[in-house]
Amino acid sequence: MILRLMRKDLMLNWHMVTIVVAGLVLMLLFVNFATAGEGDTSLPVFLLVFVGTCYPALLTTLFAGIDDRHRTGSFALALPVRRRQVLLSRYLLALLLHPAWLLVIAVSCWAWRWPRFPSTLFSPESLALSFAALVCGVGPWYPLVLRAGFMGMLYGLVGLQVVGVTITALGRSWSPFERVLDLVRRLGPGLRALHARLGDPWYLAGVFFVLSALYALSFLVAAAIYRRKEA
Amino acid sequence: MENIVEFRAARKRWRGFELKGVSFDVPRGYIMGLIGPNGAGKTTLMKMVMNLVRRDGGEVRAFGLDCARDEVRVKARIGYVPDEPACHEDMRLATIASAIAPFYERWDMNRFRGLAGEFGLPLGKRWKTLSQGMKTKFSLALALCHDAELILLDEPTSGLDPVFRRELLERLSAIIQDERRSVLFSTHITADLERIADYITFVRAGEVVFSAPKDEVLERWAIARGGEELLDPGLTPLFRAVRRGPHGVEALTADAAEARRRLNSHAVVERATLDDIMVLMEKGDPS
Repeated sequence: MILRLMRKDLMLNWHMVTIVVAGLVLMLLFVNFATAGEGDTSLPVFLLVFVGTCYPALLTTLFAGIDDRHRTGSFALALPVRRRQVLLSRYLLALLLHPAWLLVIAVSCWAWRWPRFPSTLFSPESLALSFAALVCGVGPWYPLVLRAGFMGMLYGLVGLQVVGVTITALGRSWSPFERVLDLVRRLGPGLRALHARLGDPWYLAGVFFVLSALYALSFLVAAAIYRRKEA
Repeated sequence: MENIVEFRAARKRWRGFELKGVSFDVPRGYIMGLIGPNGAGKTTLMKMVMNLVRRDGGEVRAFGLDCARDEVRVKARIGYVPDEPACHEDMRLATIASAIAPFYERWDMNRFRGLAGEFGLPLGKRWKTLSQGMKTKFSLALALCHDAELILLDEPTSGLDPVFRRELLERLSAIIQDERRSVLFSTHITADLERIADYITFVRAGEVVFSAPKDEVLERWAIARGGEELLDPGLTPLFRAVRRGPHGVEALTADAAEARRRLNSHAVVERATLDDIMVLMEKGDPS
């Protein structure tokens, strides 16, 4: 049933998939063009991995947004399926599509820098980062779109940036916010220190565990919202 | 007689609306018409069968199964036409049908194509280009091509032209001929129900006013038309609703025989149509 739901979603939202893939390829072309003279530095690769997987990870959230805009949610629920199957299929589809986005990134980078294959894309650190991007792309937004609809998601996307800018601005003039910003600044070095202490395998296993837990938490929150939602 | 759907004290509360413990049955092999004014709860009842809305209490069963607990098995045996069919705007009808076909074990693509041809549905067209009537026809084609035992139609005839409306009614009558299938059909166009329904359930303000065989309803319910004497306190228990008009008083009764006996010389007692019952119950003063 889950596979049938995924097939249905891909068939009936095919134009959205096309837009996301086209957007991703265009973005990769632009980034590759802009960084071509700098050689194969690690920064663009990690940037590519994060942005290149975070943006298409929004795809399944957009499916939910379309359901909200065009009332297609009740169309899906009138099929012989359960609500939790509809939700599970979306979360699993986002996971299954993830390697496809990585492949699109790899192929575009490879084509641009032929014949050098961007092998760093598939390093454990890159994969952990791309998983983090997936969690960022689905985690907060899917429950939000279920709760507040398509417009709620758009407001959220814009609102998050407004909140970010406000906190940064306040941080410069108000000491409690400065402490918050300091904490955020210390997060990077802290994680690096933890990485050095634990070593690669344990650190990466921990990262995957924490990210999986966050993804599962997002699913549980979405399920609780979806269960109460009337079609 | 076996029931295909059973509502037992089904309750649902929303802001400004309450379904107050609704109970009635849809017998297998018959067409049941669901009538009532806007906001009476007809769509909510249909959605409860499809588990699209969660009931707050009571029981809703279809094919002997709980509509919430066994929703997959229940929905697999239902063909549902919503009041406002919605689908993916940019998708072609053929794509939509192909996407949902795998969900039904008994889906018959040849039958779907046949129905699409009969209904004049252009399968290459996109959903957003269809008129309301065409959308309803498409939903109907989807509902009829997987051998559903129960057809739920929520206001299907409102957007249809009279020719197709008549055709649809004939088709619904044909569906129940094998005595295995039933139709639950909500509509404002009560003339449609007078033509094809076997049973009528009248819902008003979240309550069932009556649920009975159509012939019994049309036989028992009557309108008495006369003067002010109809407002006599001795007569009022006989009436369910009374309305004063420019041409006198109209009173609705659920006991036509008694009304004829008692009002013989005071008023004209006529059979009430479903329309009369709905209008007087809605617009008249409760007696």
